[in-house]
Amino acid sequence: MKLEIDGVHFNYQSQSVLEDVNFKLDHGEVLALIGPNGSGKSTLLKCINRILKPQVGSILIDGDITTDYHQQEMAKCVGYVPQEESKNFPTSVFETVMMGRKPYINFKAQDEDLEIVAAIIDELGLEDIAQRNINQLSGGQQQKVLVGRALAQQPEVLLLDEPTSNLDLKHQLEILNLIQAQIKDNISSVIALHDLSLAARYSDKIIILKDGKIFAAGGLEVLTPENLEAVYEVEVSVADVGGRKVIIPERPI
Amino acid sequence: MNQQQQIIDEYQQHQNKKIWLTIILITLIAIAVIWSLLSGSVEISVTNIISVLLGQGSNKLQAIIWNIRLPRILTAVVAGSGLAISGAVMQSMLRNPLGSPYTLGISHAAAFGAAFSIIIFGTGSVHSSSADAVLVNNPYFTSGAAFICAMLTTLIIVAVAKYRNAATETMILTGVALGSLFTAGTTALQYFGSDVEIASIVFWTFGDVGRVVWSELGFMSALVLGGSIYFIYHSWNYNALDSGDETAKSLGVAVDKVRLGGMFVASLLTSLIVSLVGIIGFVGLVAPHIVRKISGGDEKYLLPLSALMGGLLLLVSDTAARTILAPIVLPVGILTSFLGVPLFLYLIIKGRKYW
Repeated sequence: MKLEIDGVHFNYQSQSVLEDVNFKLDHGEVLALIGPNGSGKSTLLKCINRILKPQVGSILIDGDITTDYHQQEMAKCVGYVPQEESKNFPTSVFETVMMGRKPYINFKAQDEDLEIVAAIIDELGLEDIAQRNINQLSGGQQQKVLVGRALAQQPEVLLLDEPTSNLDLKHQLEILNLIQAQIKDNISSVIALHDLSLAARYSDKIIILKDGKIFAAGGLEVLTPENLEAVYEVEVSVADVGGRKVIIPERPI
Repeated sequence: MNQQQQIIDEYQQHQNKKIWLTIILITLIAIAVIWSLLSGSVEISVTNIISVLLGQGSNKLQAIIWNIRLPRILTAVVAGSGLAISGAVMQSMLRNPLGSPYTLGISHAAAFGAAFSIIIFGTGSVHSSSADAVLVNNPYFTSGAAFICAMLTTLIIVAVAKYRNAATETMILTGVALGSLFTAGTTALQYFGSDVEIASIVFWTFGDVGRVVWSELGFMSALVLGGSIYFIYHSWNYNALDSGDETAKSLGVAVDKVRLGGMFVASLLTSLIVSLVGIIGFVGLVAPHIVRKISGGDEKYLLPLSALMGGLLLLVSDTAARTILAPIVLPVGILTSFLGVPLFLYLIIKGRKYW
């Protein structure tokens, strides 16, 4: 088992944000975390990444408990794409993706690091803008750069916090296709998503969070109108379009 | 594969540009040093300067070069470098383009320390190589008091920040509050001071690289060099920190430790420099911004280039301050503020894209 979340509780001051979260993720699987705002999706990702420390419970990668990892080892193992990121003093696309090599570099980047970064930039289709400052790029391109930086960490677990939230339709699909293509290389991924149809299309497993607890977990079969209505308080229809599940929000309950 | 090689080549071309910029700045500093050696109220020819540097020449020329011009020139380069690299680090650590010894109240604290020493301990005044307007009683004591107050401010900022998990806003707000406190303190001291004491305080705050002697210069150089090595060693961490604490943590950076360490060393450097040369405005703020505009935000190059740019700016400013109204020698602090403000406004209006 690649990633194992075992009885995780997280409190912020006295308020409980996550309560008894358990799940397992196998090699090469994509898990979509869904749930309304404030249901604990981002917090759970941050706990997996050790940005936050759960008060109870543990997170295991390949059976090893992550609190035993050295910070540098952890960064080689888990890549993270935050929901949004603002740089005060922007660097170029190449330099930003190169930051993903930080856990591997002592002081000077080696040829191997440059090759890995160039390959990722090539793969993401950013070669024409590799030397541009990232604040001169569109939202979609910036998001690709951040995914590129996480890929440069050569992680075994890739965490993405709403990677499509600010993107147009084309970029949403591009980003998720790209992530899906990378997963084949034995990366397991946890993606927090707001778009339920995209979640249905791109994930192997789904966890629905409500008030910090797992409301439902499993395959695509958990995306039922009853579950979604209970969690989102919105009446929804679930349609089948060309073999794909599409979730249509109807009206607030 | 070809495509990838091309991406790498392009990247390396950009790196080469930064290496060229380094070489250009070093050359400009060398030219400025020669210009500065030649400038002054006593005209000395190039051949005479060379012979003095080789240990020959008259005693008078020896004294002018070795005791006045050379320490002054080297102080300008070292102090400018130290202020600029510390400014660059503070801006990164605070994730704020306004990070500088001013924002953090360090300069105000040093000024208060000097005022306190001058009025309460009667250390009188500072040594002025130029005007001799005020008496020299005990410059070491004055500098020492300035340093202690500046470091005290640093320690309070770092302690408060540590208590609040090294949050950048906490550091800036604490600095602003302490700055106001020390300004009020200085004003209060001046209220009770005599005319001569007030003149001494005002003169001290002017910022003047001509008051540093060789032993102090040696100490300052060692600290600036050591600090710069420390900063450059951490440049990858500083790059990561600029993407935000969460990203930095996920890239394996010990965020709190790196930030507190960087702030402490940067504050130590500025405290020492301010206590020895007085308040020199804008070099620490402007030099890193000029470098960012020319060569981008990558700290690996930003830090050493900022140091060179700061050294160059301060040396050119000081030499200009010695020559434009010759034989009157202006304190360089006044000139850097006069030049710094329009330059800074220009950068804000024209060049804001890069931050």
